[in-house]
Amino acid sequence: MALTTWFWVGTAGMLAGTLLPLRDLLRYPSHRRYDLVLAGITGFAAVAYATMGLGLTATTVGDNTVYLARYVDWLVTTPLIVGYLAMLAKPSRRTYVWLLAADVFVIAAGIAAALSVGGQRWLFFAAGGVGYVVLAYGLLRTLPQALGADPDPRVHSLFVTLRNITVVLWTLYPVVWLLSPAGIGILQVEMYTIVVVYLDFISKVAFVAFAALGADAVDRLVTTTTADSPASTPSPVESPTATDDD
Amino acid sequence: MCYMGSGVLTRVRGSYGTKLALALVVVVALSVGVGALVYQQTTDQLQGDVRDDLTGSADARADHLDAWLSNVRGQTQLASGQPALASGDDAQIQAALDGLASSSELPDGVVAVHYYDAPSTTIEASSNEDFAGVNPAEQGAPFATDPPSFDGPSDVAVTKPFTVPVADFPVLSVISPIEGADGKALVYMVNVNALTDSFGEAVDGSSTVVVDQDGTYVAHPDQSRVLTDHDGSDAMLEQSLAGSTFMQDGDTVMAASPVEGAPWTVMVHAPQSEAFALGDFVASSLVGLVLVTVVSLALVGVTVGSTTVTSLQHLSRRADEMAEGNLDTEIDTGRTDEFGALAGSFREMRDSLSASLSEAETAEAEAQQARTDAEEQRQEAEQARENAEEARREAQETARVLEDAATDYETALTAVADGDLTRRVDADRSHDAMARVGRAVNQMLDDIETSVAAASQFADHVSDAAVRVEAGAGDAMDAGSDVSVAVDEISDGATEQTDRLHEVAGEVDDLSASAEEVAKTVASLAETAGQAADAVEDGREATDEAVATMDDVADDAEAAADAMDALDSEMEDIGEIVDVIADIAEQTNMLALNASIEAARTGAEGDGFAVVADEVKGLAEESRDAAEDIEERLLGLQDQVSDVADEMRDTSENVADGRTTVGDAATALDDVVEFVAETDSAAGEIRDATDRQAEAASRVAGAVDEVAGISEETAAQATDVAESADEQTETLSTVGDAAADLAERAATLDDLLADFDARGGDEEVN
Repeated sequence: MALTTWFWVGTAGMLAGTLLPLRDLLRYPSHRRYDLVLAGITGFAAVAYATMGLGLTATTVGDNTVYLARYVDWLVTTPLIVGYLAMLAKPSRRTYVWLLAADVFVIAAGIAAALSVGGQRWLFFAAGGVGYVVLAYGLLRTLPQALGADPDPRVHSLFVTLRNITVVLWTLYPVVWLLSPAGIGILQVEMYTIVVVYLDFISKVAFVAFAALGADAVDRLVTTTTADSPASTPSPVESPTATDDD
Repeated sequence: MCYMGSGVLTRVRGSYGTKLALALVVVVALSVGVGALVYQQTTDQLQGDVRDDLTGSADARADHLDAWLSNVRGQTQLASGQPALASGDDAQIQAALDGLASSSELPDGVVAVHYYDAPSTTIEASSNEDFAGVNPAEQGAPFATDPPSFDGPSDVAVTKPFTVPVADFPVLSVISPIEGADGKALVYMVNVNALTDSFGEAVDGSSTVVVDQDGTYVAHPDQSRVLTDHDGSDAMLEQSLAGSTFMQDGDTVMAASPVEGAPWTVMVHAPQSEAFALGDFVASSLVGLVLVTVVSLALVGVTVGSTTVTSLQHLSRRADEMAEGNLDTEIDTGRTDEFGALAGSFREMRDSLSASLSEAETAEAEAQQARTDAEEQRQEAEQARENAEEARREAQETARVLEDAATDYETALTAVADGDLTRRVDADRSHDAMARVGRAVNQMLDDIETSVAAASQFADHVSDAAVRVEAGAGDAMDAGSDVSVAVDEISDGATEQTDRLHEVAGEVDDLSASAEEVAKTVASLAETAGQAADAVEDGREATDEAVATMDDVADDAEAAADAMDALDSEMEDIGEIVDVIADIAEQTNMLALNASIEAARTGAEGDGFAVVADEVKGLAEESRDAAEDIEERLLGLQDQVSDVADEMRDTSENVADGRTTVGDAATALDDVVEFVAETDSAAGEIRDATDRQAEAASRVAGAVDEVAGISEETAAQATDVAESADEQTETLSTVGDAAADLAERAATLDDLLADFDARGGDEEVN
């Protein structure tokens, strides 16, 4: 099957994944900020896949074809994923900034590696790997600390699940890239495309789905943050007037 | 190393997440390993197939070439033996050549058959007119420039491929000398390109070439390359000429097979990428499959593991809090699966623990209360027992006192009844009623003694007086007898008589007065006896009171014994309560045991809960011990209570004995009453006797008055003296009888009174 078929499959999967946060957006107005981030993750990815499905942004580097849309997608959606995790843990603004910076650095290094040839490519790949180690440290150590010693069990459970999905699946990306035609080439182009589409689907749609399933945890976060507000009501879920202006 | 290893092992053991991650890593490693194995095997298999294909193809083509060569050789040899060729006749030769060329048995690729004259190096005739008259030596044909040597007419030689200007394709020649025509040879001219026409592609992208021993292409798909040097190395060529060969050279694979009938080798070349394309695709698919599997496993493992670990951590933390005694902790995973059920179980366990704890506390407090109550009741029982003991002692004392008193009284009264009126009872008694009885009895005895003494004195007086009356009457009778003798003395005597009679009258008056006094005394005695009877009645009443008191004591003792029995049964009830507490404790203990088994089954995560279970178990065992302690105490208390009850019953029996003794005293008092009644009746008899005495005395007085009147009449009427003296004597005799009667009666009274041993009884009556 042609590569574009798989891109369209990816588009359909991402669109399906976008439905959940859109539904929650209507259902829980108080979660707007969280649901918008989730919808952004799969929504942008759907657009990127549609672009690739139309055969756009394909660039030839060396013997390989590189789809720039994929990297642009990652450049936008991975900070959204990291940002969502941070929104659950509520760290300091400084932690937000350096986590997002590390993520953008990793993706930028990946783009540079994809667009270069020869030894340079591996140099960028190694730089991206180092950046990823820093990012993983932030996700595995810094954010849980921001969550506190005895966090709300729902929030903690949701955070740990999403964080683990993210860290484990993202760790597989460089492995797949190493096996791809751009790397040692065991994976042929079509299979590489299938694996990456599947990885993207899991790391985005599964992330969004689990996040949507943990809406009650977000409830608690929203309740906690709006508890100081005199206008807040006990159950923001049922209260369309509840705000999240914090 | 070992220490580190065990540390890592401990960490892995202690963390479900690590275990799961490790298991997933193992599964992934296994998948990758199996994938690698399958990849290797498949690649080997596919490469073997490719090798076999290529080698087989090379062999087959070499064989084919060999067969063709043999055929050409055979055909050439056979044809060279045709007599027509040796005939020397041009027409015959031409006909033979044409016949050969048009023969259906002509081998493939043979384009012409020449009749060649070796000495002149000229093709004298040919099946193809173009070649007739051509000088091959000039053309550079090897068979002409370098003629082969033949062993005999049946020998055949095959030239290397060559090109000649006259042919626009590479050729090779098969030459055989014509038998019987010296210097003549038959030449089969073969288009080399025809050799490879039949070589299709053995493998996609493959090409087949034939190289001769000089490294020149004999056949090549690119016909322009024929007769040029081949691309491979000399070593490769040597190896290929020696036997079947398979080798990889750069990105090309090659199989070679030598041709037996010629110093050639058939080489089949294929680009590696195309030869192994299937293997690469399979490898890519395998790796892709493994990666998709790893991604799926990672997703499942991470989500299941993460949610499980966080749920377990949450539950574990709540369990720890519960273990620390915080039973108000909120246990809510928000899940509806087994974890939700587990959280529910935790909630139930917490509630159950809470309830059990409060029940145990309540039970403990109740047990404490029961123990306190039992202690109080025991003290009360002890107090009651002491009171009962005291009452029993008092009752015994009272009974003893009463018994003593009664015995004393009985002895004294028996002595009194036997006539010893001097006997007195000891009225100095601690028991008030008995003292009163004693005092009354003594008073009564005093009165009786006084009365009896007085009566005795009076009787003595009466007796003496009667004796004197009798004596007086005798004297009077003597004097009356003297009257008849001495009438003169009558007047004097009458006067004296009158005086004496007045004296007698006075005496009789005295007697009468004494008798009245006796009567009065006897009445006093009767009154005293009545008082004694009253006193005895009082004693009787006091005795009844004592009996009633003793009955009360006995009733109290009985009631105390009943109370003891009631206490006993209450203590049995307490014992049952304590048994219930012990059962609760046992059940709690069982619960705790089950819980600790559950905890043990849960593993390290259940340690916290195991601590709770142990705590509860300890509490339960303490409760059970306390309950057993209470039960023991109750049993002891019950023994004591039944002892007290027994003692109470003993007391009751003792009181009954005392009561019997008091009853005896009452009976003795009844005897006293009888005695008093007898006294009363004796006093009545005395009174009657006295009355009769008084009557007699008054009659004596009347008689004496009459005597006095008669004496006065005698004094006055001296004539009637004799009659009067007779009458007087008669009257005096009557007086004497009366006096004797009186004396007898007085004696009788004296006898009666003599029965009483009263103080002063011996005194003389004046």
